[in-house]
Amino acid sequence: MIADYLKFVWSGLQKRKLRSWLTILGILIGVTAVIALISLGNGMNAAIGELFSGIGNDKIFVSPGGMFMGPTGEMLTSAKIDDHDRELIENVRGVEQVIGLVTRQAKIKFGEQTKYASVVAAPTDSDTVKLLDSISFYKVGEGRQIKNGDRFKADIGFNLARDMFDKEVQLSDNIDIEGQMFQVVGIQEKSGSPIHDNMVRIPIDTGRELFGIPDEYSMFIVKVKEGSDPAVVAENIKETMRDDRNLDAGKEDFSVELTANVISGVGTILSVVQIALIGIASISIIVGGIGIMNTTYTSVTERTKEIGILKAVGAQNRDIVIIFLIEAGILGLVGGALGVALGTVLAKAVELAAANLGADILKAALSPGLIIGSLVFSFGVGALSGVLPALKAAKMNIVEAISRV
Amino acid sequence: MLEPVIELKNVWKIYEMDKVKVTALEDVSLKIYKGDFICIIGPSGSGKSTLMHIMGTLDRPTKGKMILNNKDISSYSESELAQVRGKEIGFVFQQFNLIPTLTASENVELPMIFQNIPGDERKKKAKDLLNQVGLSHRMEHLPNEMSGGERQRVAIARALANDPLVVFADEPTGNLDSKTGKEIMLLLSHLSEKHGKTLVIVTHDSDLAEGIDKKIRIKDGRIVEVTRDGKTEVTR
Ligand SMILES: Nc1ncnc2c1ncn2[C@@H]1O[C@H](COP(=O)(O)OP(=O)(O)OP(=O)(O)O)[C@@H](O)[C@H]1O
Ligand SMILES: [Mg+2]
Repeated sequence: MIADYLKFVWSGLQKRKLRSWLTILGILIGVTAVIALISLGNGMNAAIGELFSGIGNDKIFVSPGGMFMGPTGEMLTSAKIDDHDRELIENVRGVEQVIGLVTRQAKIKFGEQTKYASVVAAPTDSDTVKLLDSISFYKVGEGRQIKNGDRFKADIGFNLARDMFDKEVQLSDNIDIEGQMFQVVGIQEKSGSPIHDNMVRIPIDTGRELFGIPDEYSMFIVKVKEGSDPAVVAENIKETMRDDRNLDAGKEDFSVELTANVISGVGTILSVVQIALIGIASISIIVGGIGIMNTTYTSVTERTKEIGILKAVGAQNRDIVIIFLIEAGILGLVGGALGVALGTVLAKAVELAAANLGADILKAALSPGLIIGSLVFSFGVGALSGVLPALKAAKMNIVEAISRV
Repeated sequence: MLEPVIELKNVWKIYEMDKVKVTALEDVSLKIYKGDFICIIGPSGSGKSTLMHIMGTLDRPTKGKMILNNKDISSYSESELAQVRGKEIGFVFQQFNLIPTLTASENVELPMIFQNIPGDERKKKAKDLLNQVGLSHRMEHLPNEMSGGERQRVAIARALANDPLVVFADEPTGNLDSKTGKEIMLLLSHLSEKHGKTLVIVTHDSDLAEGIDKKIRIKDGRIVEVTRDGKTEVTR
């Protein structure tokens, strides 16, 4: 039965090829965008989760300001954290170790080229080096990490060494950071995080002099003692700092985050962006649906006589409705199917382009659910758009319809 | 006494358009018996098509009763009517009225689809019917690849597809040259007789009505004369 309707519908669509193709464009574009956005967004979330899991769940991040801006992001706040806070935190129960980092965006010159990169000024004592070593972002591939006694030495990220400048930066090369020459003593392993792979690490004392920051920190990385619950420790740190600063709960001018929160925080920001973009793409799908409705109305008008004939040979109103719902649904479905294909290609293209730019954490994640969901949704939008035209078709007076020339 | 296949009782059809009333049928009563070969004749605008549409369940009377096969179908719902129409009635129109995007064989299959007849059975029946109308070589052709006479043959095959009680033909030769028209008339009467169908032909052409055993003449929406085998039964 449905197969027979399909034949009738398909033969009609074939006859109006150009119009049918134009009609599916709206849905096609919308679904393309949605598929690309969702698969890239999901891929990004997965990648970020994986990246941060390399930090380990026993870490707590303390930074100035009410909002966490990312491990090496700049803080838009006048609030500060300094050695006094570091000592406070070190004395909180369950804290094993606190590292203070200073991070700045800085001008890096190599050869004739000048670029901007994140510079992380980190302590060089063996405890700090050991802790940073345990974090997947800071694994040295070639050479060594900066160590005690180093002054104008740096270890640099993988992509910064390989791709940032026309000439590759080699071990023992000198790079110019904010007018000061540093010798490269180590090149990090590729971490997959674009931020860390394009970063320079220098000793903290040198960094303080260079940037003119005598006592503040950009962030603390806190390691929690084995057996302590990071969530409880984080809460204790918060309370201690709040008391010290005479602040009410909820009014903190600093933030204390668990690794897990950082992941979900980044995830939330991504989802919001993703939802906004998908919302825009959905408008295209709605416009596509209106296009289908319009085309189906035209088709109903053009096929008036045929509708009369179908009724004359025994088609019930129900059959007529189904036929035009199928017609509209197919327009949606074909648009959706092409959209899925095109969206997949687009997502893969973005993935490749991003990888070329060094951001190879971006992987398109296409699930069967996403594909099937898109197809069902497209068919649904099409069929829904066909409801009014289909009802119009079914209500047609047979004698009038059949008397059309 | 024979039971009528179709019986109209005091049927009126009045079209109302912007205050103007057109009475297309005025108090029409008639009986059509199984196996009848009837010709409805009358001048243009006399209400022949309207009468056929009501008898063929394509339209409802404004007043009066329409009885098909002993059932009063005046009160049937739309979908009940559609079922009865699909099963018991076949149409041949002046304009052929084939679906242009479907082949000859698919057009013949169409009425069977709505009776839920399985695909292979439909194909067999369509092939057989197209064979009977002499079109076995045109099965896979689209209507616009066929001559008018060939198209009307497809329409005849389609009208017979569900083995209906009655076949209605509204000016079936109106779009054909006289030679082809005669062939189509012959084919229609021959097939109806062979399959024992009741056949109602509408025409305003008295020549075509020659030799048809029963004639209903209408004028201004009223039956003015009924003739059977040359004998006039009713006159007004
Ligand atoms: N939908 C309609 N609305 C208004 N008037 C109509 C409608 N259909 C038919 N009529 C009128 O009803 C009358 C009978 O029309 P009908 O088509 O039955 O005539 P006919 O005998 O078939 O004519 P012809 O030989 O030209 O086909 C005519 O006066 C016609 O104008
Ligand atoms: Mg007529």
